[in-house]
Amino acid sequence: MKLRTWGYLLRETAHGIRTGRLMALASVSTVAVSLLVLGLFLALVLNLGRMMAQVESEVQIRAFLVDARQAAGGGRGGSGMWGTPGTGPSQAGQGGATRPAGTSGGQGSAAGAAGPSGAQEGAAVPAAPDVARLEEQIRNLEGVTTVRFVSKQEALERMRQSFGERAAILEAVDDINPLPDSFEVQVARPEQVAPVAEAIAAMPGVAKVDYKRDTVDKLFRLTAVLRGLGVVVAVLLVLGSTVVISNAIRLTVFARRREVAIMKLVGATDWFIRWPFVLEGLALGVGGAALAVGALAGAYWWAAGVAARTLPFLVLVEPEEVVRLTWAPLLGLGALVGSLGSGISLRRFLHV
Amino acid sequence: MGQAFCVLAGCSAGTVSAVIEFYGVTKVYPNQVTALRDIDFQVGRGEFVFVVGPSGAGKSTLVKLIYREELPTRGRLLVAGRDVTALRPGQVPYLRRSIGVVFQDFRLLPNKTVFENVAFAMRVVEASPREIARRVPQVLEMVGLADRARAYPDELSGGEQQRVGLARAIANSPSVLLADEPTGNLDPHTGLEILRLLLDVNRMGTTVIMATHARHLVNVARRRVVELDAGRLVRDELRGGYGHEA
Ligand SMILES: Nc1ncnc2c1ncn2[C@@H]1O[C@H](COP(=O)(O)OP(=O)(O)OP(=O)(O)O)[C@@H](O)[C@H]1O
Ligand SMILES: [Mg+2]
Repeated sequence: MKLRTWGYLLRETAHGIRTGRLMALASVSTVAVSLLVLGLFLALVLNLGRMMAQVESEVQIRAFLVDARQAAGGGRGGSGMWGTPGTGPSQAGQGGATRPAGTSGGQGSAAGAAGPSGAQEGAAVPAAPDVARLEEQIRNLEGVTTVRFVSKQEALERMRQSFGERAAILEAVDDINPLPDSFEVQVARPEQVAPVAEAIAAMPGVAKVDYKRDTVDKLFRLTAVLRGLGVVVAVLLVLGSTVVISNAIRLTVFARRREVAIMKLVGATDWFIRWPFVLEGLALGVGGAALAVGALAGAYWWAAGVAARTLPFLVLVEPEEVVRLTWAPLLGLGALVGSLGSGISLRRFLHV
Repeated sequence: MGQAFCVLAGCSAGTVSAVIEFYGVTKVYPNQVTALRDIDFQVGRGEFVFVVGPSGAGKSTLVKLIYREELPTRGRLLVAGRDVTALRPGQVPYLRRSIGVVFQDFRLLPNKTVFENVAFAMRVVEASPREIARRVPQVLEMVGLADRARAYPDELSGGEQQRVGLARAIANSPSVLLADEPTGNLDPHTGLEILRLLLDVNRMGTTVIMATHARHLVNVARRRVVELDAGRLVRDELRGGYGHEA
């Protein structure tokens, strides 16, 4: 079509929006709210993705040792527990505390046969030799780059620091420090985390091995749920927006029926007649989407600011990044909703 | 196309090239009403034809078939040599550009001035602004409304409104002008004015087909009369009156 024709069609589109301004307003706000909700979902999913990537990239494993004090308190029975791989610290503690000394002695000698040095030295100074031996064993595992021993005192000191002003509450536990000794183990590549962790867990004297896979799994499940929910919400909102836009276009078609009849009569082409309605639908959809992008940027910028102040350890996706990643899909969806809405109305009400 | 054919083949004075040709056309509406039965007649280029007959005879249907508002159920209908039943949907607008239509109820746009109403018909077929600026005053002058260009339809008399309708119908210089009871809403005197304008348009070379009940107009004009009755063509007279009994 000729250039001036487009000028004419655009003027007609603007005229159509002005005549039906209430419906236009209703459509634009419905689209805006719908796409804003969708955009917030997208922002949430983006942040979860960021968190997962971050957690996954941490190739650190923490291996907690059986608590020497509790083990010593349980006597030989407690040291005997070291021979049982994969038991958690609570089990070890319970075992040491509840078993009568007499029965545990027999068990201890049985375990002592499996690990004689552990049993012997556990009776005297429980933790020290194991640390050196374990450190050596861990260091020899495939993929391990660094091994660092964190004593229970150091662990408590770290906690004190992370508590900051509220560190006073820790004074109560100062002399009965419940934190176990541990190793911080770095591996070279993320995929080595799981096998190394398993190998360490199997070592005697290791109570519990912790790494971030559980967190990643939980985040992954949460993301999957949110994605599914997001898709359902998106479909519903898109359908709702489409209906509202098609309603607005239907009213414009109705308001223009005389013009349309005359246009047909004098030989306007079908697309010449349709374009202003299609453009109106597009304008409503894209206009609503633009508002949604603006509102999303504002809302996210504000929320990220609040989060940065109250939850400083959360590393959120930057507002610019959220806008950069969501504007095109949202505007595209707005255009889709707009053209779909006008398409429906034109099929049903504009028989050219 | 027909004219070109005549120039090349040298048509004799008696045989005018046909611009509208009905061959055995029958129209049955979806409700099973047969509005036209086996209609055969041709209209030559530049002719003026009255279509008369009692109410429900099928006059409006015949007009609608020509501008392809309705499609024939059976038979062949050619307009300017083109079979309207064989037109692709995309070609229909171009057929309609060669046909102007005037209605009993004028069908003007109430929110546009006289000038804009006429210009609208040109704009939507993508005429240039220059052409519009030249042509609209010209056709308004022709129908005697040059001084009312800025008026809105509700500020005009019925006769004046119909003259706007006529100006709009001829704005795109169609080769055929269809008028379905153009004087039906007008008093006899005003109706005569409209008839005069239609005859003027015809004199300038446009083929005119006018469906009407207006006995006096048919009798005054003494032009070809095609009479329908219950969907059948019952009379086709070259210089007829409204009816035999009159
Ligand atoms: N769209 C339609 N659907 C069904 N039947 C129709 C339709 N249009 C016309 N008819 C019927 O076809 C017949 C011819 O109608 P038409 O309008 O052509 O008559 P007419 O000669 O123009 O009458 P009038 O002088 O009253 O205008 C009538 O019986 C009418 O009821
Ligand atoms: Mg009629």
